[in-house]
Amino acid sequence: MSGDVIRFEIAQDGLTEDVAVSTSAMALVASCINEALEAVNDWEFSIRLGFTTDEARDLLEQVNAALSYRERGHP
Amino acid sequence: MRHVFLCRALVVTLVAVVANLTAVPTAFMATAASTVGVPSPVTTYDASTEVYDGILQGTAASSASASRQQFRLDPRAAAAPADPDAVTTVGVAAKTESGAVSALSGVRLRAQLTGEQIAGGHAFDAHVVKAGEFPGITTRSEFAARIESVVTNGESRELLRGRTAYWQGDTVVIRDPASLDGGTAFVPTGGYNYFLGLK
Repeated sequence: MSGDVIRFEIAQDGLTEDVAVSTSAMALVASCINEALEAVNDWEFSIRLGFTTDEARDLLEQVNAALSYRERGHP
Repeated sequence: MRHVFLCRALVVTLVAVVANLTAVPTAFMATAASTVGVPSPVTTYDASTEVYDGILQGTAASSASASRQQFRLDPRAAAAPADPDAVTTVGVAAKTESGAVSALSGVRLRAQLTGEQIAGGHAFDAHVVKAGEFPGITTRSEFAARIESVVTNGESRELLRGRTAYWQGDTVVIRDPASLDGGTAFVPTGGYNYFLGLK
């Protein structure tokens, strides 16, 4: 997976970690979430994925926002 | 249907106790199945009276007087649908042969209730009727039996948020206590790798 990277700071249980993810990998994540929302029935979504469709859509929006921010030329 | 489950559990427990009369110390383990919306009965063991308080209640005499076995159903069991998550085992199970047998009965009962709950939900229409993923299975009871077999005999993995996945043959069962359906069961096109990839 190549391309520019987006850096995240993951904070959990008092620990923080910097993670760099390529923009193409982020695009794949966004596509996977989108496909999952399309392919998996609502009643079965949280059973199979462990997260609700609302949570998935929220994450998809955040990923897309990060990609759009980068596409607009921001570092 | 629940009566059938509980009666089967009673029969299994009785057979286990009778079959181990010479080894039955003083105790057997009771399995408890409570219901949605009904507080789970606390399964307790009273060593002095050898009476377990749970869905299954009874007394097991020592080997010298084991001819009298008495069991009765907790009326709470008939009040609402069975919840497989409420089927519990007690700590004394592994300490005695009969307890171990009864613990096994508890596992089987839980698997049976899981099968019934999932088969009674959306999974039957989605994966059996529409997708045709289970050739030869045409009824919910057959689907429930298949799920029970996977849960009882399959490989299992703990997943996020209290879910449990089971794999046997080509079938995945995902048990989700938070779901109204209780989970789902299907044949993933990704096979065993799909099962391993579940989070």
